[in-house]
Parts: sequence; structure tokens; C-alpha cells
Amino acid sequence: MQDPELLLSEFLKNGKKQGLDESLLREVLDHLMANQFYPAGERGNIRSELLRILKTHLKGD
Amino acid sequence: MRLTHLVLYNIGPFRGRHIIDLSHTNNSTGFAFFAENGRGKTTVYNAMRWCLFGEVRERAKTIAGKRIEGSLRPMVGDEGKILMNDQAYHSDSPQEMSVVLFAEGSNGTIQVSRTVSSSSKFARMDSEMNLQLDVTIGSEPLRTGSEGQEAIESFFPRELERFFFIDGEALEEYTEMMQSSSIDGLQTEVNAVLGIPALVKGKDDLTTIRQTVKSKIEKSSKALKQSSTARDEIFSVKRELKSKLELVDKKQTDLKTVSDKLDTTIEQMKTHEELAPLIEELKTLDIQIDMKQSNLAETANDKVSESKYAWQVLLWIRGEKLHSQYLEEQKKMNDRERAIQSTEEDIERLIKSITDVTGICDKCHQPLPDIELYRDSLKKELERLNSVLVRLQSEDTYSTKDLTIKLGDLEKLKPQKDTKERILKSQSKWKKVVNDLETLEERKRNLNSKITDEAKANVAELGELKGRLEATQVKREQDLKAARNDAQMAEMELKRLSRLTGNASEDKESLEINRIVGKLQLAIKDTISSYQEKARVEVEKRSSEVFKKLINAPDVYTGIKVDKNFKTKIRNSKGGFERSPSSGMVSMMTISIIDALRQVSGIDAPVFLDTPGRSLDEKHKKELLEYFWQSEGHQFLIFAHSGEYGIEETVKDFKGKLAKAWTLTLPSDHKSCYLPNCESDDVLHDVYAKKNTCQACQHEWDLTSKETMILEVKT
Repeated sequence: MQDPELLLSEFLKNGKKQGLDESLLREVLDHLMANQFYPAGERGNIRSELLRILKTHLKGD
Repeated sequence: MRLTHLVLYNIGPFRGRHIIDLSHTNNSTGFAFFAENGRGKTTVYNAMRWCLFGEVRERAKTIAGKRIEGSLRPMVGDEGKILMNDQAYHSDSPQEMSVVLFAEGSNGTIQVSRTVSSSSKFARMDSEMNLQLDVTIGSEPLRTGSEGQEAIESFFPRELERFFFIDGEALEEYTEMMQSSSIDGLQTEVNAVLGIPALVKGKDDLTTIRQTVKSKIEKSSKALKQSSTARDEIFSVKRELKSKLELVDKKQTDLKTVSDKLDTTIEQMKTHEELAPLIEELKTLDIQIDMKQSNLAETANDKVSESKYAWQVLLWIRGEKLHSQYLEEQKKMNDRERAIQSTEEDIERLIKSITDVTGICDKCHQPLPDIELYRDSLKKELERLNSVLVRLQSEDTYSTKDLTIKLGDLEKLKPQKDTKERILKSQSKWKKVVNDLETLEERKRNLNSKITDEAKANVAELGELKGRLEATQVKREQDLKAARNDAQMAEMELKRLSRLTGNASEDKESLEINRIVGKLQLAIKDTISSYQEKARVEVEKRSSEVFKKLINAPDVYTGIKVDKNFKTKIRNSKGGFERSPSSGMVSMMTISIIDALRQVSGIDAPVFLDTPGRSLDEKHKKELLEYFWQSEGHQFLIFAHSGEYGIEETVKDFKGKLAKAWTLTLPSDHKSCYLPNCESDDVLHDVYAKKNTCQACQHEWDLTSKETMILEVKT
């Protein structure tokens, strides 16, 4: 939930449980929220960006 | 985001260009459009939807809890309720309609312009219209078409349209959805507002990414496996190559040995060079003799074959005379028989003549002279013929049968016409061959006397050896070529395997991404599950707060209960639920839920509420505006029927919160002058001309006009 970031806090909680980094979780959720209304057929670029986020995160580690 | 201007051009009852200025100095959130039915308040509402989304649909219907999407309203056409102004559609060329919307947001000014104009002379359907969308945001470059639409939807998400474009019918629809046993529709919208699509679609995105990554991992794993197998194979291929190269060396040595031997043999043959022509001639002679001998056999056979008829030829030397004699005799016999036959016929005729002679003339019937003399001559002739006949019959000769048998026997002995010639020719041919053969053998004897048997044997042996060596050399050359090919293939295989071992490496990045994606998927799954429940609680809390403010009766109602299926009930102060709430109460509950969802959606957009007080009593209608019209916050525009809210009363009651208000009227609605600076009641009504004329400012208006006017109300 955008206000008061209930969705974010839930996602962070569940993500951390999986051992994932908070900055990665925030960046992934921001990206998904910003593009949540694009239909499945038009999500090619969104997926590419998501993959880029994951790769950048890996390099940062 | 706040709207500042809205420009309508040839849409619905609005003919020509109408500019609605929504800008104002304070931050009040209230805006109102008042109108009676048929004046176009829903058109203004729909014009904004069309400007933003390019389409206007008829209201969706909910049947048995299932939402049925409304049909699309056509822009032009002769059927259905079109969006374009009727007069513009029927009279203008080109036909054109447009809506321009100006707003201010965090990125500066926003301008959205959507225009549709006819591409043919007189368009009768939407497909004959050209659409143009231009979007400008702050100082960013102009965006058109799908890019423009994308920009609009970043401010006004189409999926959340119902949380800022709300009308009375939609409220009823929501109410039905919240109270029915089905949760279709509402939960989808609740999910959309709560950001669930981000998670659901994100999960699908991650699944797709994972599939791609897994495919890469499989590829690299396959390459690694191939590399490992190649490393195992490379040793055996190296061994194989070594043995093949050794074989090549051996084959080369073998070939060299044979080539050397062949050279030696050729050298040895050169020492017998003087004998070579003689030996060659001897060989030729042998061949010729062989041919002649076979020729001799053939001619001898011919000779024997032809001599089989020699006896016939010899016998015929004597038989031919006899045969001629018999033929002569046969001819004579035939002549005699013809002579006898002829003589007999003459005798018969003569006898008849002698008998027939009467001595009287047939013509004159007189006796003929010398008739006796004539008779004597006939008798003498008869005697002569009889003696000839006797002579012919008495001649000694063969019988016809005997003669035919004899001739037949002799015919059997007669040889064919050229038998003798053929016998002589075959003999002559045979004799010639015998002579030729003798000549050749004589020549061979002469040659043999010049060459010793030892030399001859030596040369023959060397020749035979040379032939054998040449054949061996050809075979070994072929063997060497095959061995070289084998070695080359082994070398290529070794290179291929070397490449495979060199290129493969583990795709660590893909493995790591796969691991993270798996964890993210689990995190999303858990979040959807836990968040939905928390969100429900949150919506329940917020909607209860809104509801309590709206109804303003905290002693009676304490809030709204939202169950896990998003069905709603009104809580009363006794701790139970309101069993049969009034329709107005239910509407307030629905508005509370929608506003709670709108709040959590975080959409920074004005709210448009069409016919807001449709099923509310006076108290609740007022409370609705009290709640939404604030001194600051999101713009809240209502499109109210004059029966819902009284203009003067509303303006008076909400002074300070109502930023601007307009009336939508037809000219015929005005009995007094409607010009803002006049408003005189001194109006002359012309019944025949169907027009009013203001006596104060002389303004005239046509009472038959169907063109809606937008007039600002003084607040």
C-alpha cells in the first residue's frame, strides 16, 4: 500500500526472511509499482529493466 | 494535480468552443456543475474521460454479481447516442470535435489535447475519422499517439479510473457488488488499488526471467558437460592420431620401397634395349600367328561345311544331260499329243462335210456341178489324215507318268545354283590362310634364330616384374592417401574437442540470478498472502473513518465491517450490524469504501462525481459535500442535477470551500438576461419570433436553440 507503505513493509519483511538485501527489495518493488498497470503483452522492457536491477545488485555485492 | 482549464469543442450539446476556467486563487477543493436534465452535465464528465482515455462507454451493468462492460459510445454516426455535437456532425465540413484539458502537477503544466476530424467529406462512422492526441508535460517534448496515452495513464491509471470518475450509477454498482454473494469485480478493483497487480505481474515477470535464465544455465551446463566429455575423448583421439600418423609413415616407406624396385627394374630393362624391338616384333608375330590360326580354323570349318554338297555337283555333271534329254522328250510328247488332237478334229470335221454334202445349192436349190469330184477330193483328204493319225499314234515313246517320275528324281540331285562357286571360294580362302600362316611361322623361326632363349626369358621376367611393381605402386599410393585422410580427420576431431574444452565455463551470474529470482518469487507470494489481509484491515479502518465523518452520527454507527471477501456491513453502536440500512446509508457506505480505496491508491488526480446525491437525503447530501469539499486537497468536481442540490443554497452553505461553480442551461431556460454584467429582469418575450430581448442591454436569445451555455455562478 502506497500509504503508509504497508505493502513495502510487508515485502521487505518477507524478502528479508528469504535473505534478500533491503536495497534490492526496495528497487524491485519501486520498479514493479511504477509499471503495475502495463499489460502482460507489453512488459518486455519492464522485464529487461528488472533483470538489469538484479544484475546491478549482483555486481554491487 | 489540479485542473486549470477545460476546453470543449463540438461535443454533445456544446456547439462551438467553450472554455471552462477552473483556476482560482485559494486552495478550495469544491467545484460544481449544476444543470437540469439534458443540459450536458454528463457530457462534461464524459468529455474529460474521452480526453484522457479516448473512449466513453455506456455504464457497465452488474448482473448476479458479474460485471458486464458497457458498450462503446460512437463519436459519429446515424445510430446510437454519438459524442459529437449533432449540428457539427450534420452540417460541418470537415466534421471536428475536440477536448483540451490543462492541469498543473508536480512536473509543471500538463496539457492533453484530443481531436477527432473527418477524413472523408462526410464521415458516417468512426473509422472515417482521424484521431490526434497531443500531450505536453512541463518542458518535456510533445508526445503523440500511444506515447501520449502512456504519459496520460501515468497520471490517470485507466485501471483506477473508477476511483476518480465516479457517478451515481457506479455507486449503485459498487453497492450491489459489496452486498452480493459474488466478489467478482470489487476484489479486482480492491487488488488494483492496493498495488496487488504490481506483485502479481511482477511474479509473472520474474517467472519469465527465470525461464530465460534457466535456459542459459542449461545451455552452459550442457557446454560444461560437453567440455568434460571432450577432455575424456581427447586422449583417445590423440592416441588414435598418433597411430594414424605412424601408419602414414609406414605407407610412405612401403611406397618408396616399391618405387625404388620399379626404378631398378626399369634400369635393368634398359640393358636389353637392343633386343627389345625384336622381342616386340616376336610378340607381334605371336599375336598375328594366334589370329591366323583362329582364322584358319574358321576357314577350314567353312570349307568342310561347303564341301558337304560337292557330291551333288559331281553327280549333276552327268545328270544334267539326261535331265535335258528328258525335258526334250517331254516337249516332243506334248507336241505329238497336240498334233493327234488336231488331226482327230480335222478328220471329224471332214467326215461331217462328206456326210453333209447333198449336191443341191442352199440358196437357189439347183444341183451343184462336179459334186462327185468334190466328194472324192474330200475322201482322199480323209485317207491322208487317217494315215497321219495312225503314224502319230504308232510312234514309240515314253509314257507321260514315267517321264514325270524320272524328271522328279533327277531334280532331287540338282545342286543349288552357286554351290560350286561357294565350294571353290571357301577352298581358295582356306588355302590363302594356310599360306599366310606358313609365312608368319617362317618369319618367327627367323626371329627366334636371332634371340637366345635366356635373353628372351630375362626380358619377359623383367617386363612382368615391372607390371607387377607398377600395380603395387598404384595400390600403395591409394593406401597412403587413405591413411593421410584418416590422420587429417583425427586432427580435425582433436581440434574440435580442444575448442569444446577451451570455451565452456560455468554461468555463475545466471546461477546467482536464478537463486535471487526464486527468493523474490517466494517473497512476493508470501507478501500477497499477508498483505491482502492487512490491506483489508486497513481499508476497513479507513472506510470506517470516512463513514463516521460522512454520516456524523457516532452514537448510532461506529463504522464499516469489511470481511475477507470484501463484503461490507454497517456496524452499529450496540456491537452488531445494521440489518436493513436505508438506501442513503448504503450509498454513504459505498462512498466511504471508494474513498478509502482512493486514498490508499495514492492517485494524485481530481475526483469527478456525477449525480452525487442521487439516492441521498438532504442531510447526507450536505454531509457528502462537507466531507469532500475542503479548504485544501484534491479537487472534487460534482455534476449535480438541480433537484439534488439547490444552487443558491449550496453556494451559500459552502462558501470558502466551493472554489467555482457553473450552470449548464439552454437559452430557453432564461426568462431574465443571463449576461453576467446585466441580469436584468426587463425582458421582452416575442412569441412569434420565439426569442427574448433584454430591454436593458438589448441582448437577444433564441428560444429554440438546443445549444447548451456554460455560465459561471458567482460564489
